[in-house]
Amino acid sequence: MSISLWVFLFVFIISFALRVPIAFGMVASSVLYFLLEGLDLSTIPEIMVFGFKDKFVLLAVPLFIFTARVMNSGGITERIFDFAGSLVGHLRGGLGHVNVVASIIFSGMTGSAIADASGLGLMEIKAMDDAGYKRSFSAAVTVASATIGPIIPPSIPMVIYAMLSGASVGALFLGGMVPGVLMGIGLMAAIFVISRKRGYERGKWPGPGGLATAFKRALLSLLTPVILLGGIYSGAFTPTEAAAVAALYALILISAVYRSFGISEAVSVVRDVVENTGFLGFIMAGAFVFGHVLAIERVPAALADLVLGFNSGKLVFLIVLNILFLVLGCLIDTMVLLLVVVPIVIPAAQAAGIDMVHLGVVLVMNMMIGLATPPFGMLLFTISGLTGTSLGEIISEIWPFLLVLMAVLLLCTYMPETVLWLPGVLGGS
Amino acid sequence: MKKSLARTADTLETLLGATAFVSMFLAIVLQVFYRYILGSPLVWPFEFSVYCYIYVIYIGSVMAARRQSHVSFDMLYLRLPGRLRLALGIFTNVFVALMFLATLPSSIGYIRMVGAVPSSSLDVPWGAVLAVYPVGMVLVSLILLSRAYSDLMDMTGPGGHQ
Repeated sequence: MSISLWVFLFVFIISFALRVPIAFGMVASSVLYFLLEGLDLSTIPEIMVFGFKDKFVLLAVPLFIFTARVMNSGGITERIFDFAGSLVGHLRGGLGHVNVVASIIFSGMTGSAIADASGLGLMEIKAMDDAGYKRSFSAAVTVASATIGPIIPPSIPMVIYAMLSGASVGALFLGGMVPGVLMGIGLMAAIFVISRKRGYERGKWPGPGGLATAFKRALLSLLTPVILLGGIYSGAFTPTEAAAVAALYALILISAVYRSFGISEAVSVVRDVVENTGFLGFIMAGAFVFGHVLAIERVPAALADLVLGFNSGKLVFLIVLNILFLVLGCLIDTMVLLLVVVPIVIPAAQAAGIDMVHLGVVLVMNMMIGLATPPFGMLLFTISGLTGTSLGEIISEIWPFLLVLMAVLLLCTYMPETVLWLPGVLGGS
Repeated sequence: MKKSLARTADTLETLLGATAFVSMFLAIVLQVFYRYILGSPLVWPFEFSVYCYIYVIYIGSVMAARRQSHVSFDMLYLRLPGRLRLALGIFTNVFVALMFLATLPSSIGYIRMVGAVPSSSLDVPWGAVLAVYPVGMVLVSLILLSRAYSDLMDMTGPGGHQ
C-alpha cells in the first residue's frame, strides 16, 4: 500500500466527518490520489461518464423512484392501507399489523425503505395516533416495517448489487421474498405481544363484504407488482423495462382512472426524481472512481487473500460480514456501503465460496436493519423529522423490533436455503 | 438578483432534467411497444436511454448541490463551535471545488481526443455525452465556491459569526 493510498483514505474520512457530501468526498480524494501518483486525470471523466454506459439495469433505479413518488402522491397508498386494514386490522394491536402488511404490499411497488416510511408511514402513524396508540410505538413500528421495503422485490439496493456482483436481478428479487415475509411475520408477532401487554384493542373485522370492497378498491394498485414481477419472471421484460412498464401503469392509473394526479404533481414528482437520481448517480460515479483507486492498490484482492489465508470458512466470514455491515449500516449511508464496501467484500466472498445471491440478500438485509439501528439509522431520522417524535422516544421503542429483525437476519445468513430456495424452485438463478 | 438567479437555475434544471428523464422513460416504453406490439424491436432506445440517464445524473447532481441535498454525514460537524465550523466549511468547499476543477483540462483533452467518435447505434459523437462531465463539474464547483464566499463574508463581514 502506497503513501498516496493512506492520504486518499485520510482525506476521504476527514471530508466525510466534515459534512462534505459523500459523493464529493470520494471524487475529491480520488483526484488527489491521481495527482499524487501522477496518473492521467482523463481516466476520471471516462470512468464517471462511461462507467454507466453498459449498466442498463441501473436505469431501473430512477423508474422505481418515479413509481414510488407517483404512488405516494396519487392516493394509492390510502387504498393499500384500507385493504391491509381489512385483512389484519381485527387482530390485537390491529393497526400495528396493518402497518406491517401495508408496508409489505407497498414494497412490492417501490423498492425503497425511505419512500415507504415517508409516504405510507405518515398515514400509518396518523391512523395509529387516532386509535390511541403511543406515538413513539407507532413511529418505531413504521421504522421497523419500512426496512422490509428493499427486501421484498423490487429493490433498488438489489439492482445496484446485481450490477456490482453480476448476480441475476431476478434471482435476487426472488431470494428476498422469503426473508421479507419472515421479517413481516416476526414484526407482527412482536406487535402482538406488546399490544397484549399494553392492552391495545383489536380493530373491527369488516366481514367478507368489507374485505371484498377493500380488495376491489385496491385491486388496480395491487396489479403494479404483478406487472413488474410477472414481466421479469416470465422473461418478457428486462428489470429496467419492467420498471418502465410498471411506472407507466401507475401513471395511467392515477391520472386517468383515479384522477388524482395533475400537472403540478407531475412537475413536483419529476423534479424530485431528477434530484434523487442526481445524488444517487453521483454517489455511483464517485464510487466508480473510488473503486478504481482501491483496485489500483489491489485492496479487494488483498482482502480476498486475507480471507483465504485465515481459512476460517463461510460461517466465520459471514459472522464478520454481519457484524461489519450492522455497525457500518447504522453509521454510513446505504448507497455508500453498497458502492464502496460491497465491491471490496465481493472478491473475498467469492473466494470463501459464498453464493452471490445469498450474499446480496443478506447484505441488503444487514443494511436495511442498519437504517433502523440507533443512533444514526437514517429511517429513525426520517420518521422523527416527519412526525416530530423525538429520536430518543423512537429508539426506546425500537429494540424489540430490532431483535426480531436480527433474528431473521441470522436465520437467513446461516440457513442459505431461506434465501436460495425460491430462486431454485422458480428458476430465477 | 440572487433570488431570481436561483429561480432561473431551478427552472432550467427542472426543464432539462425532466426532458432527459421523460425521454429516457419514453425510449424504454417505446422499445417494449415496438418489440411486443409492432413485432419489430428497435436498436437505438438502449443507447439513447442510457445517455439520457447520464444527463439526468449530472443535471440532478447540480440541482442537489444547489439545494444541498447530496447525502452527507453531519453528526460530528454540527458539534463543532460555530466559527470553526464555518472556517472548515469554507476550506472543504474550496478544496472539493479545486479538486473537481483540476480534472477540467484533462476532461477537455479527453473529449478532444475521443469526442468525435460516433456511438455504435445512434451515431452520436461521444463528445455530446462526455460534455456533461466538464459542464456538471464546473457548475457544481461554482456552487461550492459561491457558498464558500458567502460563508467567508458571514465570518469576516460586520457582525460576522461569533
